Amino acid sequence: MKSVRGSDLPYVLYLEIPFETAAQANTAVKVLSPDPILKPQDFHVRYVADGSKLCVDFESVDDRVLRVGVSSIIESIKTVVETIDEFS
Amino acid sequence: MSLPLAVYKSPNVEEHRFQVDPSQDRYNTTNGTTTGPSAYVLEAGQIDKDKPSEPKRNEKGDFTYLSKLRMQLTGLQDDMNEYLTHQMELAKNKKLKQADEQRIRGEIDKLLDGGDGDDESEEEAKKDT
Amino acid sequence: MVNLNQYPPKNGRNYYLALGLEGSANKLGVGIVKHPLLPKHADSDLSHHCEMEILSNVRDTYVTPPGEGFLPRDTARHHRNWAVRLVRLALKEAGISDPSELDTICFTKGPGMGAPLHSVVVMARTLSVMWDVPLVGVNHCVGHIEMGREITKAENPVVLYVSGGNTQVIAYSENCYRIFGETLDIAIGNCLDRFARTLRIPNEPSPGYNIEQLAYKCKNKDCLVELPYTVKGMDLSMSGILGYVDSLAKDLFNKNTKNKLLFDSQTGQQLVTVEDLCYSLQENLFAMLVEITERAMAHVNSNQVLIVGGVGCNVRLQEMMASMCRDRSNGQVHATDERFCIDNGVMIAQAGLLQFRMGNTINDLAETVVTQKFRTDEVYVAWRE
Repeated sequence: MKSVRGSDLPYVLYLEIPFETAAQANTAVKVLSPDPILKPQDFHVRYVADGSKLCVDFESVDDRVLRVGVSSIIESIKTVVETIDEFS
Repeated sequence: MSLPLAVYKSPNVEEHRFQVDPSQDRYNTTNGTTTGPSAYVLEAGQIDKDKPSEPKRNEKGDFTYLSKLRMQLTGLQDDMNEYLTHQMELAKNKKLKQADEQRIRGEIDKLLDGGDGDDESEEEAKKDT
Repeated sequence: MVNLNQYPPKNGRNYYLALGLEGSANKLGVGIVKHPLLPKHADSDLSHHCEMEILSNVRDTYVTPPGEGFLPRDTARHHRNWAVRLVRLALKEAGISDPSELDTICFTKGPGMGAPLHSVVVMARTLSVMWDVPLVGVNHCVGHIEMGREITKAENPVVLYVSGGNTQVIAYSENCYRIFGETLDIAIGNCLDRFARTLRIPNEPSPGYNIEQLAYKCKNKDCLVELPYTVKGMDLSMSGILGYVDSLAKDLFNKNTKNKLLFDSQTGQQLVTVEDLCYSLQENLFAMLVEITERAMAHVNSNQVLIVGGVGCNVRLQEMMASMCRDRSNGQVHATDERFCIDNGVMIAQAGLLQFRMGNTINDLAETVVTQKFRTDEVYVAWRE
């Protein structure tokens, strides 16, 4: 797990999603990355594909912003998972 | 299969790990408890016709890898939402408790400063806060 | 003259295939269209004669209980949970077994509600990466316009775009759909939908449709309830009318006999019904639309009107517009039926495929960020002269 960068966003969560293949994990990174964060001073997210694992690092100013951000991004990840499952 | 996992850290929590237990029901459904319709719409009488799709099965009738992943992620998401909501409650209660303690401390200090309760306008002002 | 054939279809085929995804409001639409590759499109101005064939048009609408509107969170949830199933259904209906055959995947980039738009684009991006099919981002309003043009074959009409989210009068000029007039506050569909909520009538199939049915039942068509008439030059405003008609409805439900418009001052007898209010509201709003449309027609010297958008399904609006057009050197009004008036995926595929044929595809997923605000006149209409 990556260390916290500074203490300006001290509420952090690391999420690991094991896809079947590296190609799937890379697809997820490509699909999730474009969207800008509304308030970058309150919330930050980073996506990395590590082999077939999707690794997501969240950093937030408090628990409330963290909860909203994490849940919303998991909804998008579930869409990616369902789409790959259905159409590959 | 590998399981999804999450790790949380905060100024109040050293480390909290979220893990999936594939034998439990909550990791075997695509319909999460924290991702249903909004409260206001349910209260207005909405019947939920828009639940997530059922998990996919292969030709043998088993769930596909990705549909299992989707279900596990759903349970993990519920775990995180519930945990973080709880953390928010703790923080709110802590804040209320601190505000209360501050108020009581303030009142004690006022009395100790020589106020003997005869100063009526000061008492009236306190009642209004 | 325009060359629509400069980017040929995949695999040496003699036709184009496009998938369209729409989700800017509470309707989730998936459509698949086919354009034949024809010599006549190599050097002409025939983007409304694509010989378009609809291979599938599926749609699911998120409906809320009476008295409630649809909010972004639940609308996005609906779209997320139905998107994959609708695409599978559309591909099946179109008989497409290998989706990598598609020339393009078109999605609504905006305008509209942020969260619902986003839930659709996540799937669109995934499909694009998986099938290696290029994406095209489409302006929702332009989607309506191009669909209307292709279905009705109208020759350069003034376009009245009226829906829950938009009210604009548009005329084409030099590669741009110019906005001649628009609402200064709320859209007409929004006005009708909110009045429907005040009346607590069902939202199924749509609140506007149910208001239209109530208006038909009005027995006092000769006694219009007087409402504010708020045309302002080329534009119009509707929030004041909504506020007023809402207050009339509340007085009616609360039996506020002090309101002399609604109750007889001596006997207290009810003079106006809910049907009368619906009728008068429509007549008033539609008359305003007819006025600003006519003003635009005078400016561009046109006698053709094309009505697009969900409110365009309204038969009374079509009648009133037709009557005005006839009086202007025997002009015509063009409209499509509810398959295409109401938001759908086919219109996104149609406009998107025209963009594709002019080389306007997305090269980087960073360009696929959706946007709530996206003016109709921001689009470069390359496929027209």
